Amino acid sequence: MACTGVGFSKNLSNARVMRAFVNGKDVVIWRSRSGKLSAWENRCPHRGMRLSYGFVRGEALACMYHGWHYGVDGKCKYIPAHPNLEPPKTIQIQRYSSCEKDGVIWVSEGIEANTPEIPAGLFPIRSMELHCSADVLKNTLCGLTSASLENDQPVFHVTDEQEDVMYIDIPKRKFALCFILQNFPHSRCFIHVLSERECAPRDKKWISRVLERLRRIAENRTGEAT
Amino acid sequence: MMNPVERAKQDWYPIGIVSDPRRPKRYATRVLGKDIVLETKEEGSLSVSCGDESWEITEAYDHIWTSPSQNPKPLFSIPEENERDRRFVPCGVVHVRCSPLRAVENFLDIAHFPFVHTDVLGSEPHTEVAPYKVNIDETKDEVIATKVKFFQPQAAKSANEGIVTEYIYRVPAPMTAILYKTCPNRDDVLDIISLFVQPIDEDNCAVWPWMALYDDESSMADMVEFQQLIFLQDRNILENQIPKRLPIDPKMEIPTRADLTSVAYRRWLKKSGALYGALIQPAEQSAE
Ligand code: FES
Ligand SMILES: [Fe+2]
Repeated sequence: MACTGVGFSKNLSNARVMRAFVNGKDVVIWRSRSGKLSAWENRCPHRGMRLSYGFVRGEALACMYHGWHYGVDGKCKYIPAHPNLEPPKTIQIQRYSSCEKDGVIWVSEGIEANTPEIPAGLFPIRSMELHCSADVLKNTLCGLTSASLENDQPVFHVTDEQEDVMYIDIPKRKFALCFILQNFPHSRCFIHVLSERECAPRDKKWISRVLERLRRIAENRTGEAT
Repeated sequence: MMNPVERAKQDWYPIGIVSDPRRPKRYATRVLGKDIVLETKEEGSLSVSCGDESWEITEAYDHIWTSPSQNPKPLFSIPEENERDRRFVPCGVVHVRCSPLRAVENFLDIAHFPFVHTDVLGSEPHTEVAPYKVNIDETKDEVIATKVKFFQPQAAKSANEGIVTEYIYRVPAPMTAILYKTCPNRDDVLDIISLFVQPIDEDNCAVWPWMALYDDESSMADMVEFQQLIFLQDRNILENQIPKRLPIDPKMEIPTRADLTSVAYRRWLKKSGALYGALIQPAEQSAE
């Protein structure tokens, strides 16, 4: 089953929690105090609260509503309303598999860890949220290959395209970028941009500018469509 | 059993505060998925219409109530409304994107105080919920929870230090909950905080808190602000519970002893067929 790139490792510090969507499913991703990464169904079995609002206590994720603690195995470890009760072993959250490779966090359904399908050794540059669907963004990118995002000069072309990963060549600047697309509900998506080589601050600035233009174009398209 | 909409039509629902100078002459709102208009005439008389139907209307506990039924069930009673030295405080309205039943259930829950109303209604490490009693009062047809005790750092606007507060809960109608709690200023009386819930539809509600307190020190504005703060904290929870509707199937969520009130509430709803806003079939969960 395909992996979803949900963000950069550097953006999820120890003891932090984030939310992602994997194949349309709401997922909580968190890192324990010691740095262990977990990805789970984003729902507390007690009363259905989204766990992405929770907080990390040591090696457990605590739900924001009644503070139930869940260990990295997804099992309930502590129920604050009954501090002396050993929580039943049956209380367990559905887990996703997650792994990190070259600074990207990948999540997929099921327990088998999957290897992501992108080349090794890329450098994470930045993540950006857009108010358009991943499809609109992808079409925008493909449509812009011969047109321009800068000064009417063709600046890049899409060299390879998979379901949610695109490779883009930027001959003028002599590098290639990898775009990982992540779809969210309600016409939102993220792109996580990586570069094949380490970028100078000048290049990073240029990428940011191009991304902003891209965002404007893609979001306007969404506006027109609705 | 009667279908949930027909059952829900028999009850009264709050749609406004009686003395609200800001309410427009024709105030449009929704109840049970229907668009209605509350009209205030020149002489001050009120009427509610839904298309060409006119709905029943009454005033009680500082609120305006309406019912689509020609012959609604009697409105529940709060006898303490006759104690004239109480201060009666309607607290305005908070709109919440959740089932009206979820809003009531949240109000009946104390175990969330240390985590959601941190340092106000609860605080760690005082998280334990001691055993308490829950009954169904068959004559009044109400859920009653008594001897509910909890440590609270600032139980009310007028409380200066932490106290163990004792609570009694009444659920006299599917979308109404009334709480009686230790009064920080006096030990011979109980303060009252009620939650009147307007079902906009099965997934949306408007919550009208109303208080009847023995507190002559705090200003009205302070008391309203205090309650609003509490309800905004609850809203953040309520809008992030999945599913939005209250699951009636006990297998869908996991109650513990601390949740006895909610367990009794769900059973009582099921038994009386008051399932508007309830999830009857375990549904595929949606992402949003
Ligand atoms: S809903 Fe998560 S602890 Fe209660
Ligand atoms: Fe609350």
